[in-house]
Amino acid sequence: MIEILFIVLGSVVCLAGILGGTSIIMRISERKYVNNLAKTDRAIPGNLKTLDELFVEDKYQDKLVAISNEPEKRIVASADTYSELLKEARKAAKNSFCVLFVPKKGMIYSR
Amino acid sequence: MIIYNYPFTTLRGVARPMLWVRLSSLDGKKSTEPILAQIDTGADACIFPFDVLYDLGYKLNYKAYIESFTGTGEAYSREVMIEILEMLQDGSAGNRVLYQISIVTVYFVKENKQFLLGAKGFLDNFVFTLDYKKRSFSLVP
Repeated sequence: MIEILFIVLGSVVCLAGILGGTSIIMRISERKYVNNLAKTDRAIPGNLKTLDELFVEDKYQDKLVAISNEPEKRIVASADTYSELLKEARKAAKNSFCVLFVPKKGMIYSR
Repeated sequence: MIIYNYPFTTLRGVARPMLWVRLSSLDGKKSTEPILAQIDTGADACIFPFDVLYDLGYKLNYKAYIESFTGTGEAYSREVMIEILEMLQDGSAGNRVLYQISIVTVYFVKENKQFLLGAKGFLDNFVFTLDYKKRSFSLVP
C-alpha cells in the first residue's frame, strides 16, 4: 500500500517537474521586441532629426515622401502618386529609402 | 515575436500608431521599400495606394469597391506578405523584421495616398493594445 502511495506521489512530482520545465522553456523561447523609444522619443540625441522635424515645410503636406538615411537623414523625393515618387526617389537616392504619407497640418482625419 | 512599446509616430504635430512595414509578393520575388503605415482600427481591411500593385509586379485583377470618408473608390485586392520592421531611434525604419504575416489581402485603392493597416488580415492576427498616455502600442500574436 505504501509503495503504491510512493509511486503515485513520485509520478505527481515528476509530472509537475515536466510541466514546470516546459513552461520555463516556453517563456524563454517566447521572443519579445521591447522598444524603449516610447519613453525617449521626445529626447532624441541632438544630431538625429526626428521624422516630424523633416517635414516642417508646408510643401510636403498631403504628399507621399521618400526619405533616405545615408549619408544623413534627408528627403529625397515627394510626389502625389506612389509611382512618381519611386521614379524620383530611385534617381535621387544613392542607397535605399523609405516611403511615407505626410498628412496636412491642422487636418482632422476621421475614419 | 511580440511587439511591446512601439512608439507612436508624430507627423505634422499629431502622434499616431504607425508601423514600418514592407510588402512582398507571395512568391517573394518583389518587395516594396519600407513604408510607414498607420494602424487604423476603423478600417475593415488594409488599404494602400493603387500603384503599389505595380511595384509588387501584379497586374490588375479582382476589382472591388472601397467606401471611405472621401467616398467610394475603385480598388483592386491582392494577397501579399507583410513584414513589420523595427523603428530606429530617429523614427526611421530599421532592417530587422519583427513579425511576418504570410498572406494578407490588401486593397489597392485608386486616388488614395494613405497606407492603412485595418482589421481583416492584419489586426485580426493580434491583441492590439494602445497606450495614449505613453504614446506607444503593443501587438501580441
